[in-house]
Amino acid sequence: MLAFKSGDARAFSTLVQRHRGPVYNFILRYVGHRQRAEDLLQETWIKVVRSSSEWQPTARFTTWVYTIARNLCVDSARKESFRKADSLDAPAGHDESDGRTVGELVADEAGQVPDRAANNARLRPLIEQALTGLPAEQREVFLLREYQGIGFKEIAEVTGVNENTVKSRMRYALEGLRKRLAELGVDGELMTEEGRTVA
Amino acid sequence: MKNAAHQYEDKLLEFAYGELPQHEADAVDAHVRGCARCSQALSELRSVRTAMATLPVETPSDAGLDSLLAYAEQAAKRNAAAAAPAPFWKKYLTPLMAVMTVVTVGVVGLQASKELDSSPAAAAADLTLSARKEPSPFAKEERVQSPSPVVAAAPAPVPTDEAEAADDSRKLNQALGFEGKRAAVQGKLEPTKKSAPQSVTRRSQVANAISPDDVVEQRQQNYSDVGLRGGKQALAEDAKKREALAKDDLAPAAPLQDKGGAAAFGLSGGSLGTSLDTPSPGTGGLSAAPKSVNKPAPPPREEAAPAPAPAPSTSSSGPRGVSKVAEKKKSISLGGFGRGAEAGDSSDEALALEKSDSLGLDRDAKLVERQVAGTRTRKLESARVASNQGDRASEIKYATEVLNSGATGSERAEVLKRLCDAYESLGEVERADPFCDALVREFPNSVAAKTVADRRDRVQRASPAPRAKASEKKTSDTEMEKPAKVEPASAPAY
Repeated sequence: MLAFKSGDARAFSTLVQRHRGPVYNFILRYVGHRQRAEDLLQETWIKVVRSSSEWQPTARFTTWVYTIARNLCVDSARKESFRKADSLDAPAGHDESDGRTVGELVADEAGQVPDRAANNARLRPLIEQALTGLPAEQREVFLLREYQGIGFKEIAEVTGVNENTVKSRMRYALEGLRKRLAELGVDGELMTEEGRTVA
Repeated sequence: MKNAAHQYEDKLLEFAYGELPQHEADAVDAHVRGCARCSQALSELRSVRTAMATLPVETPSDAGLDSLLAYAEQAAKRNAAAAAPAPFWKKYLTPLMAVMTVVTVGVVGLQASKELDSSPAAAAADLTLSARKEPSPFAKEERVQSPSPVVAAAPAPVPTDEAEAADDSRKLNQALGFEGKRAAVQGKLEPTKKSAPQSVTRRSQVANAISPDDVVEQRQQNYSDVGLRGGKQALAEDAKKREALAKDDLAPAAPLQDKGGAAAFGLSGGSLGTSLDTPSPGTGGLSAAPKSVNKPAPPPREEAAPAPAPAPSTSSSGPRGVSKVAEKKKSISLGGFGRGAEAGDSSDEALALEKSDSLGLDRDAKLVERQVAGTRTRKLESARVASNQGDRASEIKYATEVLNSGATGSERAEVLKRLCDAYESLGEVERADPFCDALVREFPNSVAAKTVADRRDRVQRASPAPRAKASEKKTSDTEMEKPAKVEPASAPAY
């Protein structure tokens, strides 16, 4: 970011290549809508360019860009709260989705093996449903920590709350997901069968 | 124990995400191995994470990526321009331009203010001098020819009468074909005009402390310079002298030190004196005075004997009348501007005298003419004396001599009147008639002519011409047509 501020356009291209995918996934999981997520992603990077002069080297770029993206997502969520929003379970499109959910499309695009893809296709809607059921403040903390790898201290900076609050929200999010997944019939044995471990 | 277990249970979240320091992580791990509750909590946490990790990573589309990078490139250029330090010359360009602008405006304003300061003074000087000058053609020529504002604005400081006299002189010279000489004189004066830049330089030196009085004084000094040169040139030629007078009457002092200067500039007094003696508007004394310096004084009036009783004549009689006539003759002969002394006096003699005087030629001839005029005046005075004494024969004799010597004007009228009266008093009417007729015809408006006409009417005598014999009448008419050419020898025939 320092190189970009000094006039190096290639430095900004490097930043985009490094952070564009994770930021997009955060936004997509936060808002639950692909097109709106891409719009917010574009808006986020434009804001990064415009606000590049305000960036200070004391802050991490990751923290700064997720703060921008999170604020945009909050604003978008407030706007969408007044209208019916498409969920991950709703039909994704008119011609390409063929009635499949976003989770099913994501699974196909990933190009996974048929068995694993079939398993994920069975579990993914349940997982997305459990994630969508979390409160926004718990969901954003879970997304930032579980998928983006941001520490609790930095999540506190992004969300504007203290670190203990972030940890508390994280515990509540994990407890809520466990209960929701148990209700949906997804337990840890399934996870164990796939041989995936968490830590 | 329970508090200690809760202590590790609070750290299971950080332990599960690997955010605990190594020694704390080791302590938590040892505790979890020996604590079933903490081991169960950690297992549930890991199972949720395992289930949520099945969500795939999404890849954003490239739509808008190019425009985003282009926008970022422009922003990078702006950042580079903003980050680049300003060039050295740009820092000082604006102040330098401002200083240069101020200096330029100041210089222009200073020059303009100088012109404005000097213009009123020059205008005041022009007004002061223009009140003393009369616009003459020479001054106009100077304005046109000289590039100097001082010389161009310099008037020809000639009083009105003197300017008119100079103008008359110029016209007379032009009429006599003498214009070329004046042009030559002007050509000699050209170096004087070309010296004007010196005056300009001198004026520019005192431009800062200029005032109307200073300008007037300085211009007078310039005129004195020109006047000194003009005086020297006037010493060479009379025409130069007139032009110098027309220009340089403001140079009073310096020329007085030499004779030529006195001749050139000591004319004001002469002019005044002449004008006092001669009521003639011609003011020929301007040029008469210097000539009186170079030429011998007029011959003294030998017959200046007082005449107690004026003769019955229209002309002035007695010493004052003689003096007047003499002064007029002097003005005519010396100045060439005395033609206005008597209206209609344009005899060949006077014209010849003027011409010879203007040309500056044949001074001996002019002296002879003056002597003849003096003799005529003396004889006329003798005729008056004889008339007073009742000596008609002597009166006729002197009057005939005066008439034969070419008397003109009032002298001729007086002579004709005396001859007419003298012959009639002697009873020689036929001899008196030609003179009486000539008087009536040449001077019909004079008192003498009217007196003669009245006397003839009283005696019921017809005009002498019809009464004369045919042969005499014919001869008389022929002679009366040209009375000025009547030979003195023919007079006794009447």
